[in-house]
Amino acid sequence: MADYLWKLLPILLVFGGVLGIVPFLVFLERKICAYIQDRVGPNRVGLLGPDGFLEAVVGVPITKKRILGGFFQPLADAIKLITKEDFIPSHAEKFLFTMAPFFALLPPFLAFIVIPVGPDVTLFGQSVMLQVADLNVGVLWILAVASLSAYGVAMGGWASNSKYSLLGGIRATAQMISYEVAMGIVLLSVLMHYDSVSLRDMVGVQSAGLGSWGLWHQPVAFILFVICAFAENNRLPFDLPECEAELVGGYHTEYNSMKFGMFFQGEYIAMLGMGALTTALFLGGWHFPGYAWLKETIGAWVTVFALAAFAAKVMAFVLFQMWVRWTLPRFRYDQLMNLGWKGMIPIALLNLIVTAWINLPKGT
Amino acid sequence: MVDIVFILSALLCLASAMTIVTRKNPVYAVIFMLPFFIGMAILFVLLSAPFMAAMQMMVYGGAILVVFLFVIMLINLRPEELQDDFNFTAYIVSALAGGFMGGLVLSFALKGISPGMASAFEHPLQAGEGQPAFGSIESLAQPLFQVHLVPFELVSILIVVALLGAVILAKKRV
Amino acid sequence: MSTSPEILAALVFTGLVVAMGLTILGLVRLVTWGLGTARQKRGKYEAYECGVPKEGSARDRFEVHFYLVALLFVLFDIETVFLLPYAVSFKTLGMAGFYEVLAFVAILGLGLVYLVKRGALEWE
Repeated sequence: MADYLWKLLPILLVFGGVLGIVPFLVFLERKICAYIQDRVGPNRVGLLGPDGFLEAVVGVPITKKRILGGFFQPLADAIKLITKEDFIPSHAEKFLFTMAPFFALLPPFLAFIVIPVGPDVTLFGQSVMLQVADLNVGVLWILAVASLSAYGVAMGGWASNSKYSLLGGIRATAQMISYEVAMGIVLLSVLMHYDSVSLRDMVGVQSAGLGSWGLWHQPVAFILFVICAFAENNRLPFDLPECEAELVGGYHTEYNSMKFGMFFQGEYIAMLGMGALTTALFLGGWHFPGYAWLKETIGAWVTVFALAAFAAKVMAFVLFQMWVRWTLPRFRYDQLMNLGWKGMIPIALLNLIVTAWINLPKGT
Repeated sequence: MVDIVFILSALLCLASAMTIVTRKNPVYAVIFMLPFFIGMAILFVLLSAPFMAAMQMMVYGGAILVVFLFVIMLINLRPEELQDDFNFTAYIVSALAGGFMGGLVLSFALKGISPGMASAFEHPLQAGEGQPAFGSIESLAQPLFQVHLVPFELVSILIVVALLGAVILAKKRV
Repeated sequence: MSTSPEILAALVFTGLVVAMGLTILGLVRLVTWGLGTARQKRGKYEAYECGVPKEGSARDRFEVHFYLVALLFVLFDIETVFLLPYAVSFKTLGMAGFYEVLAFVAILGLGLVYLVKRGALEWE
C-alpha cells in the first residue's frame, strides 16, 4: 500500500507544477515579446496590487516603480476570462464546440506522465521515483498522445462552422500529422541510441556526465526534434493554422471566455511538454555537471538541485520557443509541407540508418 | 482494482460504440470513435499487451481516424442532406447489441474478471531465461525479422503500392 | 517494469486532468449562465467574417491534397510501427537485421522519391 500512496507525490508534483507555471508563461511571453519589440509590456498589475491601490490605502505615494510590474497580469486575465459570457455561436455544433478545448488541453498534459522530472529520492526509508509512471511503452506513450493532439484543433475548427476556423483546423491537422511522421522516426533513432524505450533509462544513461547527454550523440535528431516540436505546437514560424493576417484567429476564431482560455492553456502546456521532452531526451534530464560531486557532499538534498536543473532546462527551451516566435517570420504553407515531407522525413530515415550502423556491434 | 478499470473502460467502449451507430452526422460518429479506441487501448493494457495499446492509439486513434475525418469533411454532407428520416432500426439494433454486451460486462462484474487477467495485471508474465516478456516490443522482433522475413519485406512493397494508389486517387491529372 | 502501481498512477493522473478540464468547462458554464446577463445584439451569434454579413456556408469542400496528406500519414505511421521492433532490439538482430531494414527503408525511400517526382507533394 505504501508504494501506492507514495505514487501520489510525483503525481501531485507534476500536476501542480504544470498548472502553476502555465499562467506565468503567458505573462513571460507578453513581457518578452514587449522587450523584443522595444515596448514595456504589461506593467500595471504589480506585486503590490494594481496601480494606485497602495497609494490609496497608505495615502502617500510610495514609489514610482511598480514592484514586478505586471506580475499579476495572469491573475487579472484569468478573472477576465472566467467572468466573460460563455456564449456559443448559433451556427456552431454545440457539443463538439464545447468539447474541443478540452481535447486541446488533454494530450499535452498527458505527455507529462512518462517524463522523469528528478532522480529517485529516498524519503522516510521509501524510494520514490520522481516520475508519474514509468510505463514500459515509454516513448511510445508520447507518440500515442501526440497523435491525439490534432483532434482538439480539428474539432474546434469544424464545430465552429466558420470559414476561418475550418481552414485553420484543417491546416493545423495536416501540419501536425505531417510532422508527427518525422517525429516518430526521430524518436526511433533516439531510442536506438539509448537502447531503451523508457525515458527513465534514457535520463539514466545521460546522467553519467555532461559528455553523455543525447545532444552530442544525436545532433541531427536533436535539430529535427526541435523543428518538429515547433510544428507540433503550431508555434511561429509554423503557426499557419492561426496566422492573423489570413485567418484571423484560425481554429479558435469563434471561441471566447474560458473556452478560449483552455485553448490558450493547452498551447502553453504543449510548449512546456515539448521543453520537458527535449530536456529528457537530449539535454540530460535532471542531470547537471557536478551532480555526482554534489550528491556526495550534501546527500539526498541534491534532489532539490536536480529538480531545479530540470526546471531551468525546460524554461530555457520555452524561452527559446518564445524568442524564435518573436524573431522569425512565418513560413508559407507549401514551404511548410515541403520541409516536412521532402526534408524532415528523408533526413530522419537517413539518421535512423546511420544510427543503427554506428551502434551495431561490429563483426556479428 | 483491475475489475473497476476493466468495467469502466468496457462501459466507455460500449457507450461510445452505441453513440457511433446512432449519430446522424458522420463527423460525430468519427469523433466518438476516439473514446472507443481509448477504451480499447486500456483493455489491451489490462491484457498485458502495452505495445498493442500504443499501436491502437497511434495507428487507429491517430492516423486512420484522421483519414476518416478528412474523407467525411471532403465529401461534405450539407445539413439538409443529413435530414434523413428517424432510423428506428439503428436504435433497436444498437440497444440489443448494447444490452448483450452490457450483460457480458455485468456478468464479469458479478463473477470477477478471469483469474488469468487479474493476475496478469498484478504480476506481468515474467520473462523466461533469455526470453523477452510476453507482450513486450522485444518479443515481436524475432518473429518479425527472423522467422517471417519475407512477409516483412513484402509489407514495404504493400505500403508503396498503397502510396501509388493514394496518389492516383487524389491526383488524376499530372 | 510495468507493475500495477505504474499503470494506476498513469490512470490517476489522466483522471485528474480529465476532471480538471471538465470542471473548468462546467464551472464557467454554471457561473456565466447563472450569474451573468446575456445581451442580445444583432450579429453576436453569427460567424465572424471581419464585420461584414456572413456570406455562404462554411461547410465547403476543401482541397483533395489534405486527404492525400492524411493517407500518406497513415502509410508512414505504419512504417514507423514496423521499424519500432527493430529499433528496440536491433543489437540482438545484428547485421542481418540491419540489411533487412535497409531494404525495407530503401523500398519506402523509392516510394517517397516517386511521390516527389510525380508532384504529389506540390501545393499549388
